[in-house]
This record gives sequence, C-alpha cells and structure tokens, in this order.
Amino acid sequence: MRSIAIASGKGGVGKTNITVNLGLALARLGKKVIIVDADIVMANLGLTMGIDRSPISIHHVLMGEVDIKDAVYDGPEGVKYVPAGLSMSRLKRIDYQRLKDAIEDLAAMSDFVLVDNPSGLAQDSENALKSCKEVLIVTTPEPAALADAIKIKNQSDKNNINTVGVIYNMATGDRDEIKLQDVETILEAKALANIPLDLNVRKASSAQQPVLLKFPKTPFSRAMNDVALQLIGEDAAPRKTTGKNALARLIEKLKKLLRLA
Amino acid sequence: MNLPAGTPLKTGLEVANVEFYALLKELDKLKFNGYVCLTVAGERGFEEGAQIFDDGKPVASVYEYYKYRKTYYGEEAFNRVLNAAVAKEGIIDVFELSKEQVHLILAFNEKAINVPSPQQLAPRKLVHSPAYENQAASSLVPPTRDALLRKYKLADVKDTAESKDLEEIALDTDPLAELTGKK
Repeated sequence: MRSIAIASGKGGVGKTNITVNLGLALARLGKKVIIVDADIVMANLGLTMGIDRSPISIHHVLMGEVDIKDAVYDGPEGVKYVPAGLSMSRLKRIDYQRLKDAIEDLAAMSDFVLVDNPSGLAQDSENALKSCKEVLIVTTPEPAALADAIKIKNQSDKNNINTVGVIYNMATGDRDEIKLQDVETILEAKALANIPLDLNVRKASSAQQPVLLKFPKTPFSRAMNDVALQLIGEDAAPRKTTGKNALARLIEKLKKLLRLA
Repeated sequence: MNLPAGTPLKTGLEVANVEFYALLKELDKLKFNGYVCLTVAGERGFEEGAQIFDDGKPVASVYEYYKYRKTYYGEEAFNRVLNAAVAKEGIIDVFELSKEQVHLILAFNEKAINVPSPQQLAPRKLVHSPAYENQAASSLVPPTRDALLRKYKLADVKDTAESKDLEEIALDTDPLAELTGKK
C-alpha cells in the first residue's frame, strides 16, 4: 500500500543498510514488505542481504523483458526483494519510465515497498524518487550530506512526494557535528531516528548479513525497530539510541551505587 | 564576562550558610575591591553571577545562565544575584582585585555598571524565585532555517536548481546567441 523511497543524495550515509533492516523490522511487525534495489548502476542491496544469485533483476523489468512479479524473490524473515543486476552491459537498454508502474504493482501486493535509491540527483535517482509516494531522507551530521539531503527534499517537494521523516545516522556526538534539531529545522521534517555511529553495522556488512539478524540489540537495530513502529503508527517517540554496550551500562550502575554508599 | 582570577578571600561557602546582606555589610566595612561569585544550580542548569565591588560598594553586576547561553547585566543581573543568594544549592567565592583592576573591568563592561539604591541594599527577607530562570529560558529563540543555512554555509544549496531545471534553462538559451547577436 505504501511506497517509500529511501534517499539521501550523498552516498555512504547508510541508505542500503537502512532499507534492508527497516524492511526486516517491518516484516517482524507482521507487515508484507518488498524491498527494491533501484540503484541500477551500483547495485549492492543483494550483497548486504547475503544474496548473490538472482538471474532475473529489476534490469529485466526496466528493459520490458519480464513482469515485475517475476523479479520478486523471497528474503529473510518473510521479506521479499527485487534485486538489481550487477551486469553493466544491459544499462543502456533500460527504460526508467517503467519503474513507476512496477512500484505501483508491488505496492498493490504488499503493505510497504521500500525503494533503495541511488546516490546523486541524476536521472536514475530522480526516477526512483518519483516512482514512490513517500520519501524517507537519510543524512549524517556533516554539511556535505545535509546539502545533498536538502536537494532531495527540494526534489521531493517539487514532485509532491511526502517526506515521512529523516534518519540522522552515524552521529558521534562530536560538538562540531550538525545537531539533530538543526537538521530537522533545515529539512523541515521530523527525525524518526538518531543513530550513533555503530561499528556493528560494518561488521554485519562484512559478514553479508543484515544488522538486525546479526546484532539484534545493537543501537542501529533498535533504531530500525523504532522507525518501523513509527511508520505503522505505533507510539515510539524518536529517541537517541545510545551506543553504550551492556558492560558500559553495568559500570555506570556500579559508579552510581558507589556514589550512594 | 571574563574576570581576573584575583586573590581568593573566601571560597566554597555554601549559599545556604551565608547571609548575603551581612556579607555586603562586611565587604563595605573592609572597603573591598573585587567581586563575589555565586554559582548556583538552577532548576534546569547552572547559573553564575558576579557582583563587583569598588571600595566596598557594589558597582556592577553580571549574571549568566549557561544552559540558555543568556547573560544579564546591570540592574537585571543584580536582582538575579540577590535571587541566587537564597538558592537551595550553590557556592559563593570572594576574590580580591586591585582598585585598578576593578576600574578596568568597569571601563570595559559599561553595561554591567549598576549602583543599587540604598532601598535596594536595605536588608529584607529574600525568597528564591524560579521566575528569573524561566524568563531566561523563554528568551531562547530557536534559530530560523535561514540562519541555520547561513551558519552551515548551505544558503546557496537552498536555491540550487534541480537537474531538470538546469536542462530547461539550457534549452531556452542559445549558446551562439551572444556570438551571432541573435536573441
């Protein structure tokens, strides 16, 4: 029913990881989810999910060779996904205009279609954005990322695509970082998550497993569960998901006890 | 406001144990030059006030709310110093300066200058009020979007035309027009 583009403009801010893990979190809440890799040129959603064989991909759909339903695969936790092929040879023959129809077809057979947008603001990115009715903007607390996020927001507004919110990712708490409140004010959008820089995300990527499955309790995974709840309208106020591990929390408790003694 | 460290006369006095009017009287008697620093815990953050003395007379005041990055000077600060003097938690430090140092402070911080009237200095029962802190909090206006865009040097991004717009501009413009004289 809902089609949401996960977009940032800038690359390397965590779009693909957020798309995959948010999809898993929504699926765990009983939602029918289809994830689409719209990063036609630099496809890597399949790699993040640990899936390497997908003979039919979004490329075939955009070339008009197959129906979108034939490019849907079963993923973990009941999530379905549409991969992008890694072959560069077919790039010239694709027709981006077919993407919008394909996403509409997928939306009709699911609760959520999450589209992993390509980086940049070129034609592939713009078409992926326009194929969805909503956009979830991902940014990190740096001016370069925010500058591109502003462009995505402008492009979305111009095309009447509703911004559901912003994910503030990879925050370290450094005083020079752009503050979450400032990002909200500049983008004129509510932050759905404030995620610290989480090294477990990189570890999961290296292991080619979704973070939510490999590290279910890490801050990134908890944030994805929070965002999923917010998307389905449950009460989960955006909050900072702390980067402290169990040991750090235990030490803090001991310190408190010692102070009281 | 940055004040010279000076010579500590009294440090770490608990606000609750100090009768502020008695302290004023004592400093008057000593013809004290320097300042009294009050650091108190407000309801939502730390506050710090400094009352500056010249020959034992209060001559300037400054009061800062760290949480709100808000500083008051002069009479507004003096009233807050009196309020801080009856706060639940806080400490008082007294630092002595030379007369010249005091005069330099006054010369460079004219807005802090305030000589309280005898009525204002007359001892009376003080009751701590959170109204001052609330006023400081309400003065905190969140920065506008434009101000933030300027702050992060992103003001130009806001007006950046999209790729499609640029294509349209390019189509509307004949690159040879200037050379051929056509429009």
